[in-house]
Amino acid sequence: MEFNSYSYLLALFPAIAIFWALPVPARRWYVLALSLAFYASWGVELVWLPLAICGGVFWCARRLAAEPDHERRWLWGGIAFVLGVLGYFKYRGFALDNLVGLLARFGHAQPATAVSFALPLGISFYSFEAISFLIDTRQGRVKNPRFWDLALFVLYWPHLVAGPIVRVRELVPQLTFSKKFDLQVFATGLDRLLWGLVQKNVLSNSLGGWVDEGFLPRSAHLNTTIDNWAMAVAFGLQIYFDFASYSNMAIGTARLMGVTLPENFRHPYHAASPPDFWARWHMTLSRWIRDYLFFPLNARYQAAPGALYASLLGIMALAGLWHGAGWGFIVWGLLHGLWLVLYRIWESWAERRPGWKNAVWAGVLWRVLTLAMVVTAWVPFRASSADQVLAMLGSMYINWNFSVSYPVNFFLITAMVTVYAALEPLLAGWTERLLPPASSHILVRPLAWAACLFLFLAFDERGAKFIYFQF
Amino acid sequence: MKKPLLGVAAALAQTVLVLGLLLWVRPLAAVNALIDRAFRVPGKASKLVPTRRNPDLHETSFGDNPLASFRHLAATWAKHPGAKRVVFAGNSQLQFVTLADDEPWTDQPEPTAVDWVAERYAASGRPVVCYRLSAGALSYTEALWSLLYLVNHPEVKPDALVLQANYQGFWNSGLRSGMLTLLDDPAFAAAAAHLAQPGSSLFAEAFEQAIQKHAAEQDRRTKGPGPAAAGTTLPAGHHLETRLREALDANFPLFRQRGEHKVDLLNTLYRGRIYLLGLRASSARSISGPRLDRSRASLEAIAAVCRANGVRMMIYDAPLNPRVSLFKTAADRSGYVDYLARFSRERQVPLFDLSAIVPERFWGRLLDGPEPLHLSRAGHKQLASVLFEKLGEQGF
Repeated sequence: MEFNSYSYLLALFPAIAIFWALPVPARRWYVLALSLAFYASWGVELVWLPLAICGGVFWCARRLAAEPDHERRWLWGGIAFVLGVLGYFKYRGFALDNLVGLLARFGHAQPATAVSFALPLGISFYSFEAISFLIDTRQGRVKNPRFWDLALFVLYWPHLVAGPIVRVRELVPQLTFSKKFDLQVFATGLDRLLWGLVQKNVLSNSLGGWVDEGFLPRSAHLNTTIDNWAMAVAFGLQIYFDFASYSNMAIGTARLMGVTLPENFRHPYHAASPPDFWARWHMTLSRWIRDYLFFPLNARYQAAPGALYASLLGIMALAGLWHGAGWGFIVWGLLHGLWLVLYRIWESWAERRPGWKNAVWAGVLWRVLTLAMVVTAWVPFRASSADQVLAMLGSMYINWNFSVSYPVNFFLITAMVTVYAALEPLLAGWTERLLPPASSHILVRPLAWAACLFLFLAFDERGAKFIYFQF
Repeated sequence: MKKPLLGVAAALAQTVLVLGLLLWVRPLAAVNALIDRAFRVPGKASKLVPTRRNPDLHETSFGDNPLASFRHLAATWAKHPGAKRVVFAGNSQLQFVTLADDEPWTDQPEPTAVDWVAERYAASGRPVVCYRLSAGALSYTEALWSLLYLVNHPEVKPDALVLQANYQGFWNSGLRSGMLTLLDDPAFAAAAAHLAQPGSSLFAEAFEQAIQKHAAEQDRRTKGPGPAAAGTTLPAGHHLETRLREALDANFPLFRQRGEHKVDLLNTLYRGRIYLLGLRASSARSISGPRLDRSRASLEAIAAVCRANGVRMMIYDAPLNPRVSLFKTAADRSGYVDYLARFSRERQVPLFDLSAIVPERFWGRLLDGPEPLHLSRAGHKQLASVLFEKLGEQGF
């Protein structure tokens, strides 16, 4: 049951009405039941999996709290358990394929025995949340954990299958659902939900078909320089609006229950530098990586720039691997790691030359470079083979050919969505002024909601999936 | 508590009301009319009129659900045992009529060239049945895809394929999602998988992508999110969504027509393209790159499939409006003409040059100028007449 399905939208409003009608103590059980039903709507067979992860993590957290002398053992045991489950379901095939390939290189060819699995929905997201629960317990940020707190924290349906990746301390206190109904919060929730529907159906899906065609492996070898740049830009926009739409719908759904989820995007293509991009793109993953990987590692290697750069590369490669079991994702992560390292080097160099650091041209140059870097990195992320990546990047940077091979409509649609993305902060500001929360009960807001629903219905396309569901 | 809830109810009721109004009045169609008026488009322009829809004679889904159409065709052709079967495949030139300035409107849906050909056969008493396989911007990959279904089902296997060739057709590419429904048929799925051998051709990867997309959707529908569910029934969410869509489609005409608003919006954008950017449908262009190569590879494969299955293939260079040149350079034109001639010679496929058979006065106008593609009533008649004659020469 996707957020952009009719069944979800029509079931949501009665479900929310019942939620508010229930007494406060009953709400958490009701939401837990709805969350399980939501996950089960994709198949009841794997509902046990997030519950099992919660069970394992809860047990480790309890032992960790009860045995301070062995807390490292219980922490790492719990993390190993979660990563083991994640690895089994997500990376087993990838690891075996690579092992078989490696053995074949040394003359030990063996038939591949890995059974291919459909990925359990949302496993990457709820695994990271479960790990953060363990770490927060160890660091004393979670006191007296209860199993059902953890289960509701992990399974809460708005963020269950594709984030935002939440922290225990920002979500668990809200899951008592003791807030009073607030019309303004409800109205802004509906804003986000309905705008997410438009972003998905109109902005993201309009580019999807073209991108699918342009990234066909053999086509990619024939694409010209302009084709490949346009395809990379189009994919960057498609994935942004796809994921941002999901996040908006998640945040909007939660707000209908008076719950605030963290933001996940803040106009990422307006980033002034590579670190700024990561402060705007998939922000909840960025902060998870920052808090649970980057800070602990760099607290250890603070003095050594080489170690810092190595940790940046390693962490970003892991972030790539988190997205999917494939070398393309790892290369994507490594490229982002490389941009971050280059920016750090520039920063430390410019630190001693304030004239350079604060120069307007340097700011403009980094904006342009960041955008070019991000677009370039989308190529390995989307392409299906190393050969294809080399062909596309080769054509983008070396073998220039400035003719075009796709109809003008593709370039026009990509240009239109690009212009929208460029004006997005401005438009967001105008919308906020036009639709202040206080106007929720007057005519203007329903007009906007109806317009969003109108566009959602007009561009309805059954079968258009969210890209991040595969992660 | 009661007051805010009343506020919510009122706001939601207003939303539903406004939404109903938007769906009912088709605001974007009105915007398009205003734009046309503002740009002083002549009233007679764009006389794109409704055409006949006959599932015995036409693939009426226009590529959205060919499986249902082909199953209907099997029942139709079963009533004509012994008749020779001719399939005409091409883009929307075969299915639309744009009236010329001197052609009056009628209340009846217009017949198209294939209707006229079928009528000529019926009148002549020759045992030939016809079928039109057309869709807007039909790509040669899609023509091949559809042909594969036909040749793998004796009940709908044609004796002849008359394929339209036109320059714009080489610009079209890929497979529309509705075409994937054919993969629900096991015989077709096996044939498509056979042609989709990796690395074999440019169209093969389009086939492969389509097969993977369909398989992923099937997997999602039938296996749920993980391996434990393999072989089990469809997940509840899928059932619920399907039933709900069916119910909404059946009971709410405004809901059923929701796709028309997208067409309106795309038409608005198209007007922006024409009036603001000057990029017309009839703008001359050069065609190169993967789309051209994939189209040519698909055309070659169509010839091979026809030959392997005993289907007589014929190709015709489609009528062109003399007032429109779609070729950007002389080299584009000669490249296209030479390719068709070479294809015909090497594959031993009869080629009919019908590019000049429809005179200027038989063409209508599109909103931005001369109609570059769709034939008028007289144009369709003229095309039918020549096709009937050429088919006769080929023994049909």
